[in-house]
Amino acid sequence: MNRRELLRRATAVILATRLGWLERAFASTRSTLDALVEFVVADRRLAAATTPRLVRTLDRFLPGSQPLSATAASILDGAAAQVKPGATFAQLNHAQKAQAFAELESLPDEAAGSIRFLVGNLQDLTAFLAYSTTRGWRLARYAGAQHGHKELKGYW
Amino acid sequence: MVLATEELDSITGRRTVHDVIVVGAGGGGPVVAKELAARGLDVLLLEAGPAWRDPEQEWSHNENTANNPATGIFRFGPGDRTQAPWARDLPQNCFVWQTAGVGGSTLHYFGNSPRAMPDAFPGYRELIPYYEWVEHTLPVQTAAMGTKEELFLHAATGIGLPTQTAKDISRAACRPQENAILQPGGTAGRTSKTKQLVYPRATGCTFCGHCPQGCFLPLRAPLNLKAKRSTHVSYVPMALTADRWTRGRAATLVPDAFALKVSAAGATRSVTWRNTRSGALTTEDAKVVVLAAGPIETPRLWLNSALPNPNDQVGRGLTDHYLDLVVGRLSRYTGSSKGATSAARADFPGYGSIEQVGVAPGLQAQGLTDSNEPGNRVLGTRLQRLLSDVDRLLGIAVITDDEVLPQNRVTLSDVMTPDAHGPIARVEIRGRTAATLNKREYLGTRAIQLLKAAGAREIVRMNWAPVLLHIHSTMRMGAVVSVDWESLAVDRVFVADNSALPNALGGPNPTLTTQAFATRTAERIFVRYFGGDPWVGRESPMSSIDDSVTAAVVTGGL
Repeated sequence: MNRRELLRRATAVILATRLGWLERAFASTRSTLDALVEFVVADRRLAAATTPRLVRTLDRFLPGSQPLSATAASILDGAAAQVKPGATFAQLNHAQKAQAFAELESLPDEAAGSIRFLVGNLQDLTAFLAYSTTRGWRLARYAGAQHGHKELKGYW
Repeated sequence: MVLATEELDSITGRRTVHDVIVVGAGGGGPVVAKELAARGLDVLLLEAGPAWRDPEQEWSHNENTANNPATGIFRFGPGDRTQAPWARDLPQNCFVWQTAGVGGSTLHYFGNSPRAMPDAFPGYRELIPYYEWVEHTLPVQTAAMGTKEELFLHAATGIGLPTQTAKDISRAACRPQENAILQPGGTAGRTSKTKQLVYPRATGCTFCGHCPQGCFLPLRAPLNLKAKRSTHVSYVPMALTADRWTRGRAATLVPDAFALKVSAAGATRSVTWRNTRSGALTTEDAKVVVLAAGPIETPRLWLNSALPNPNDQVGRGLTDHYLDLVVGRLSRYTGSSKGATSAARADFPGYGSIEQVGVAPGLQAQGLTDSNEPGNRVLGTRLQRLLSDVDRLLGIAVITDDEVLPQNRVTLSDVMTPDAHGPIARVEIRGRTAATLNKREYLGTRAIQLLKAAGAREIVRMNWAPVLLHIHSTMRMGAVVSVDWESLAVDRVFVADNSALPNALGGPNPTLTTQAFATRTAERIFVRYFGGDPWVGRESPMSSIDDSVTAAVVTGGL
């Protein structure tokens, strides 16, 4: 094996390792945020339509070296481990997930300001994104976006 | 005239001395721009966000497309939506709902235009002619009723509230909203068929239910005849055509222009801005500068400009009405997702106000899952049940007369990295007075009473975390600016946005009051620095829907 081939193989291994890490990290983020969305909306089909929107929204909201979606997932998993040692957020039941949020939301603003902002908005952002989908509209029996309605009653 | 910065440079060369530069084309800035352009002054109006070429094509009723805080058309960020929104340092659970772009937060506002509580600040009586001027210009009209408003007002009378019929609030009472929304005419409100909802068959509000997504209806109506009177369709078109509908001088609008610095030397005031698309910097001079970038960005701009702050009051005293949401689920149809977002209210002098709010499912779900108390959020199957029919909900927003506290403030972040426009704003909500909490509690209780009277089977009160939708008093009158809203520290620099309000106005929604003050500010600028005469009370205002304005808008290509 010449040096060029050695370099090529090493690069391939490194790339494969890195990609594997990326895939695992992505899978972890995805499963944690899937669990978050199901926690908020309790509908699997709605959750499936929502998680990609949530990831996109978070990552666009505050770009950085680590995607905000991954940061959010890490925080949730960290809180999950406090509630049930060794568990991820996705492995908690509904009551435990609520407890994980309660732990995070009891952190004092002074010490955890930005975390309080992120965690405080995760659930309502998720709900907004979910119920802006056609599946969400169907669940809410919403007629959908229209240019007007026959709803005028007159004047008080 | 709408110009890109480069075009402005090529026409004027650098450092033209304008009469007035207005920083910000949101709720307040365009009022000053229109009034002074109508007097013949050379007005340059800067807006950090984009201009809108064709809202019927560019905007959407879809909540995610319009209101997503990161990617939405009405986010707080640059016009190039492939870029991230502009960041704020928000060190607590809160949500800031502001829009960048011509029209600012009036693009997503509900158009509610009540006057302030009469005892909210000294000099209310003197402001009434300015209220009347704005109410005629926008115009403000009594809201038409749909099912949700009928339910709200019947229930309000059921709990003993009389109906208020005058614009000035004198007692605890309910009423239809005075809204900056044109009343429905023709087919509007009488059909859901798009083909029948085209101007001129339909005029005014079509009851689409999409006030927060920006109003581009009725379809094919001239820009100044769209139903909801954001400044984008009222004051800005009047400013840009002031040479056509009156003997004024057309203002020049420069969008995508983020102001970085205001400076003062002798009698000259300067503004330096950055083109958010190209990154180019431009500086222009003026005899007077008016800051109207909003109650977060105006103090940020002041502090980033290192302008004098002798009493350390710039940015302090933020009030936000400590909003809350109470929602009832009824067994009958409410039409909650249809019609103007809020068309009925009740005011309680000494406490604040409550108003009926009905939105599409996305914002409804967001409101039901926000809370200061983790266990109070409506989640999972409970959310599904409550939202199982959006048109059986009746929502009420609690608008508290919250008190000024110095620790609630805007300052410069020393935690987050500065952006291309300098150190970013840090917004801290650090406390509430006992009186504020008591007022909010009183209003929440009244909202629950009202929903019970309306027949609600299930009621949830959210105890929202701060939702910064009405933001005021960060450059407040008496502490940072005079009663004319001129800086106490730097003459020829004025403020004309909610930041100059002295407080939370006793509870009523702030935009109309800011616009009334901004009208007076324009008049004082004209008298003090340009030797002119006052006009309010002496002349008749021109409505933004007058035929002459429509002709000016159409012939001006807006």
